[in-house]
Amino acid sequence: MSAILSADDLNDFISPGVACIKPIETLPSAPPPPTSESFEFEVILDGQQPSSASQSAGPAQISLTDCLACSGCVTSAEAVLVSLQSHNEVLSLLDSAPSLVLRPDNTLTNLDNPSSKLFVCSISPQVLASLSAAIGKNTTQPQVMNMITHLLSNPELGLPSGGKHNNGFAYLVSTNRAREASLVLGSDEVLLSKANNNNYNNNNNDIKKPVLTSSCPGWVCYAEKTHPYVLPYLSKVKSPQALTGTLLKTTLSKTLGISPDRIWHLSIMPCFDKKLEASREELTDAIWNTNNPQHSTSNKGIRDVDCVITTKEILMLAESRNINFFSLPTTPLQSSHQPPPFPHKAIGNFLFPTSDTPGKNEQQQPPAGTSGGNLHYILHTLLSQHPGSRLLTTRGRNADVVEYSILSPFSGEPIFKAARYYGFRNIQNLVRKLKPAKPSRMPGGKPFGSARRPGKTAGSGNALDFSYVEVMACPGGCTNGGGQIKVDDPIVLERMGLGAETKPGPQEQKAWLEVVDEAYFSAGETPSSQGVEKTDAGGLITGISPGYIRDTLKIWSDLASVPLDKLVYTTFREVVSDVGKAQTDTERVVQLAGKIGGGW
Amino acid sequence: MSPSPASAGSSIQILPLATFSPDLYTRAWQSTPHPHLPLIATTHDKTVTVFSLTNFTKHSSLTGGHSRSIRSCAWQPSSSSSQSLRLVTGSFDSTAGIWTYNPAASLEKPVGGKGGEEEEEEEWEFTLVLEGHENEVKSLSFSPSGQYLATCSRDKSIWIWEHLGGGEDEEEEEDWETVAVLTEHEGDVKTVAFCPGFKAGKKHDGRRYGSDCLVSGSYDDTVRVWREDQDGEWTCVSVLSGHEGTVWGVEWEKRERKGGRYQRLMTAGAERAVKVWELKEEEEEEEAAEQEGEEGNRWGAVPNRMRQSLREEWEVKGTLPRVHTREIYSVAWSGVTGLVATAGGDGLLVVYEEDEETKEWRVRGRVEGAHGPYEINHVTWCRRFDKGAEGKGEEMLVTTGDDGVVRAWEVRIGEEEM
Repeated sequence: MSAILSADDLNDFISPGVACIKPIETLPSAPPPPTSESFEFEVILDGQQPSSASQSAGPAQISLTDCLACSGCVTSAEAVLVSLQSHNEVLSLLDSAPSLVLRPDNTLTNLDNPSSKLFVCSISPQVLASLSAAIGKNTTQPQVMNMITHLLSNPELGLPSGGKHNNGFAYLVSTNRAREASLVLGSDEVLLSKANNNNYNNNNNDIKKPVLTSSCPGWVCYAEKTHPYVLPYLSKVKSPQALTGTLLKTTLSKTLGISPDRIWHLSIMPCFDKKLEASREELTDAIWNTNNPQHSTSNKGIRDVDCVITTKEILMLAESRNINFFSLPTTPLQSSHQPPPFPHKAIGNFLFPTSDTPGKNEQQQPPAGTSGGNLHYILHTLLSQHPGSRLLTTRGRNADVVEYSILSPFSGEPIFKAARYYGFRNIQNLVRKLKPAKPSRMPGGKPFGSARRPGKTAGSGNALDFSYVEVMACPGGCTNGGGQIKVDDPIVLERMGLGAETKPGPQEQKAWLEVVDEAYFSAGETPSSQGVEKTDAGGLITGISPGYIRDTLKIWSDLASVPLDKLVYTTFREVVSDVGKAQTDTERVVQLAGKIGGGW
Repeated sequence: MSPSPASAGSSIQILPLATFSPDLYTRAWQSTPHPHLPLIATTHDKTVTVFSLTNFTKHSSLTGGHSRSIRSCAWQPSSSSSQSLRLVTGSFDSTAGIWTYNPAASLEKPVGGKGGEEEEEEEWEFTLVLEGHENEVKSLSFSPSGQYLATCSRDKSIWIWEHLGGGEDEEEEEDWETVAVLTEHEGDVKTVAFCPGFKAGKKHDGRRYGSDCLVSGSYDDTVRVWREDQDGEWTCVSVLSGHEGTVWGVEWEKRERKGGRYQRLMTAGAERAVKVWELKEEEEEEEAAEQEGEEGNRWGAVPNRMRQSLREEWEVKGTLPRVHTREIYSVAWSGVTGLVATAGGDGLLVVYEEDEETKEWRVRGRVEGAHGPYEINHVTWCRRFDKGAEGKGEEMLVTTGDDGVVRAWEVRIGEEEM
């Protein structure tokens, strides 16, 4: 893909693609079809523009559907956006200049080369689960983590063995660490929303109920584009990917004395929507970096996450350098190849837990789901705060809708109600209930809105009395993300004993997902914790120590000299079409290219 | 140009019976007869006009709810709890609207046509709007019990909605939920149709599937068959390819088949072929593979679930003789006589009959220029309630055209051939 985008390359021909994504950036919506609705001439043929509108037509717009089922309505403009975050970009970045290399005294080599960067990587547990399932042979998540480390950092077997500068990655971090922080923050957001919290300056004290998880970018993009009225309900806490990004960039830039653009952060995620999340303006150093002299209205800020690739793309990355991923060692990188310890001790202990780190790093349990367990953590926080209370779980109309109630030990009445809504069709039902009624177009002014009779007030929420809803776009959670290794991949077909020509159906997909889920829940993380004993009061909650998390957050905020709320919270905005506003094609292209931050 | 009568020599005559009045003056898309009441609803522009079948005049109209053209409509099957008359409209404005006929007056109201404009404002209440599709809703269909409503759209998806109840009185809130969003078509989905409900929980696998079966036709030249699996998930169980153009119409066999065989399906494509499909029903069908993979659920040893695939196969067992010279938009299969009618862009209305023994289809009657030079968008069989009808159950054809006229045709069947 050429670095120089020209308006000629962008068009609205919809071509099938692997990914179903849409950019967060405002793209003009498709022009309305001409008034002629003749049967004979279907003027708006899919993928084509009416000839009269070819001059002024904007790119077509799409919106989110179930990840599994999406066959890919991707316009070439969006294909461009996605392809700019690919394994090829990783390789070209690695080849761009010799990397910054950390010395044990926290100084860096190659600092004088302005193109030199320090490469760091984060990876999500769902990716590890997908890879363990694909590898088979009872490979555990920590073993896969080691394999990835070898891929990224082993000078003999991995990426550093080749390429122009033998560059590799300095650190590989699991996003589980930031996830734990996001769980604590998320729980505080819901449970302490009315309280004056002394721990940090939370200016989101009165978030609207129900609070909706916002760590899924597919859901967030969809909400911003199609249902902006739910934005006030979204949790402000950053997703684990975003939080890891901010953490790495702030900590490394502060401790090593370099600007955040000298750090290149790659994240390996189970879906393509995470690429869109990485390109959000709200997730750049423009939010937290008060020192950056380059900031002006034209400069969009340096991203906290520079590039996201998916599970499948990590395999493609290995392949393009002729590395057989499956043959990489499952043992840790030998100490001679390991980088110096993380430059900041406390944050290092947080990111790379040892047996001294508080918290049990307990393996996640199936009730938590495969998307981080936000709701699960909140429920357990409440259970520990209300001894004797119990949790009632009720399955909804399908496996992706579950309702939870915490029942008081005295009255048996619910003191907290929450739900899980995964998947597009279930999200439909959720947003419908949150939609404010609008006045009727009919004479008589009877208000109508989906599922609301005239006369009832909007948002009376009699159908929706949850305090919290965990919303995810992919049915089955993140292990079923769009970038995971799917059942029709040759590797999986072989593992499941299906012929190479088989077209797997829904049953096979379910079976495969179960395998991936089992990998997600079974293999433990680095066994640790002689640490704090597990108690339900004031100690650990689902293996996480909230006290430790809060302390670490404070240390981080002090280190960065940035108030914590600027580090851990984000915002959302309604995506408004700019059809009809003066903007030439070239301007738009430039804007798009700039937003990618490709640095061309 | 007046339509010419059916050609001499065949034993089926198609004769102009009546024109529904008034003329609608804008393109009319579809006319849907009520399941048992003497009413027929025609969509045109942003309105639906309901005509009386007893005297072919206007009964009422539905206005104001949609901002763009209403392409299709369906009567909600009435249940024992529901007495009100309800219609669902599918519109180019990407929504489906649910309308209720004024409950106080609904079934007591004389179903003869009436004049007065002022009363019509209050007759049909725009009760609810179902939003979600991204663009034009092309078609909709109710499952036989009325539990599910399927809508399809140019956005390539089919949404299945469930009426969870309520809406009967002012107190209980009407509740509809999105059950499924099916996105497997690769093009504009033109039409959806639920199978008529003869096969509740019967052989074709009440055990593995729900009894409802939905079929969809699309710009991607395919027809897809959808069923509900045991987890309540709607899945595509078959893809019928073979058409060489957009599939405009899908029509289920409306007469219950003898010998318990599954209803056949007729599909009409833009290439002017109409195919008759039959479900391949295999007895052994891996029933044995019901063991739920006890062997090793350990993720290191993957259980082979392939044998429990829900796939099914449909075969083309017949085709209608090619008569049309332009795209066929609509196919209608009579539930009374088993005759089939087609209509399309060439203004032809054609009636076919299946030979009992050879199973071949032959043309039995045709009308050229049924709507003059205008395209015919829809054809349907319809029970007759007018005074001229000889007995109960006699059927006529109703065609809906670009001329904004809805025409009723008498179908006179001779003795010897039937």
